[in-house]
Amino acid sequence: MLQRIATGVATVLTVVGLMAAQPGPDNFSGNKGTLKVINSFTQGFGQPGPLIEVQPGFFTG
Amino acid sequence: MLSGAGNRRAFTLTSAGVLTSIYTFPTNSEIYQWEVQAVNGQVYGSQINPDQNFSLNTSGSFTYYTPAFLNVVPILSVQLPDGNIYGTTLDVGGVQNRTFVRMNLSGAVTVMHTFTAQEGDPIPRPILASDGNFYGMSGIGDSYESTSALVYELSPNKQFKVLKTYADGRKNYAPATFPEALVEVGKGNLFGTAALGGSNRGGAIFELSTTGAYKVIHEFKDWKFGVPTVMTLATDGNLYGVALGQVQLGGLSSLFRVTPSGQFETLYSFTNAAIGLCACYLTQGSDGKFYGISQNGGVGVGTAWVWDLGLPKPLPSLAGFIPSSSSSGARVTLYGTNLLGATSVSFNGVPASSFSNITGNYVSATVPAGATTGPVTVTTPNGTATSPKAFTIH
Repeated sequence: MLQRIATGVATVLTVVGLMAAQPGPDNFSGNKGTLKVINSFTQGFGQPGPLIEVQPGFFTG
Repeated sequence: MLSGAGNRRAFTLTSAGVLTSIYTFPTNSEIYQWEVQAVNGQVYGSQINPDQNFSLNTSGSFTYYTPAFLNVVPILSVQLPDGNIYGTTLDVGGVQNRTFVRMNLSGAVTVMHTFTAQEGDPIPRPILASDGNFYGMSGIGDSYESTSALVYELSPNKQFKVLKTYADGRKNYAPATFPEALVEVGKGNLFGTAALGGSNRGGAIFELSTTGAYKVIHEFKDWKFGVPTVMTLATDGNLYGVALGQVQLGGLSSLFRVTPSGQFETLYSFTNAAIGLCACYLTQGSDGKFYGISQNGGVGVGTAWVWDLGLPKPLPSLAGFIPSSSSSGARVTLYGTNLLGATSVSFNGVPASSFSNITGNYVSATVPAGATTGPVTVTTPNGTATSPKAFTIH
């Protein structure tokens, strides 16, 4: 029994260790919400800045 | 703005993704990212090379304003119902032009404060807080690697005060390394980001009260996977932002949420191929969803995207009206937030003779015959807002 517990603890620690070593964003456990690309630009490129909603569902930038 | 082969373009974008160019800027012109929509409905922005402020509307009507001094244009970020717009000017070409200015709708600029060497180079996008004062950040030293920085307060009557200084930018989370901006949550609680500060050089999120109390609520562990940029206060009362990843080092941009009490979580990690590199600003639309634009994704030149977390739709609110009294038949400007899509306006229960949305902050309405002194209400698809004070009928 003790051996099983020790093996289980070792497994958990290994998994935790691997998770801790995994590079990535802070406190990330998978994507939340739905993100949808609504336009892939075909010319120019996106210059990130605030969009201004000028009518419901209609933005300018 | 969209950038192209030498030409920047202003555009419109629908929530379904239909993008239309409405104006092409002169070849080699650069456009500052920040724009504001003023009480006249025009969007005001700043262009360099040549240096000019401009205004435009969504039909493409465009006006340039010649810079008032030193050939430097203010980067605008705050607009008020009286028609004034506020912003800062920065060092250009090694020449110090550090000011906080007020600009009217015709482009006339008044300097409210000139920053000394000790007061630094103001970062764009100061905010107007609920106490009626302006707050912003400035950096001392190279603006991309500030050796120290500060948060300032400027009153409408031009009283300038340093709220907080950061003597060592690297150790003390100095702002002033990216286009950070402050956000007010509740009354007097300012939140901001410091892009490359902290022991990990990964950036941090800090809280600063308008009385000067300061604490770091989150420190980013690895700048490769994102340094924090600008945050947005959303309808659930939490702050959302973008951490800009370092693609060349294998990092990705990501979207995060931090509560005012400091609980931090990365909620979405971008794929570079589909979405791209993102120093984005999250705009929460009237449908409650976030909209943004990024670089390099899609076929390689960037994407527009919408992120739905199921957040509440923004409720309308009314703060006041100009003028504060009139007789029937007069046109009144109502101001507040989230007023887009107004479906009705009433003066003490009597429907306005006519009304129109100017912006998300303004509705223009005609006082109806038979109206009496009392509160004004504006109804949008998301709810009804009532003015905090009564409108007086003569």
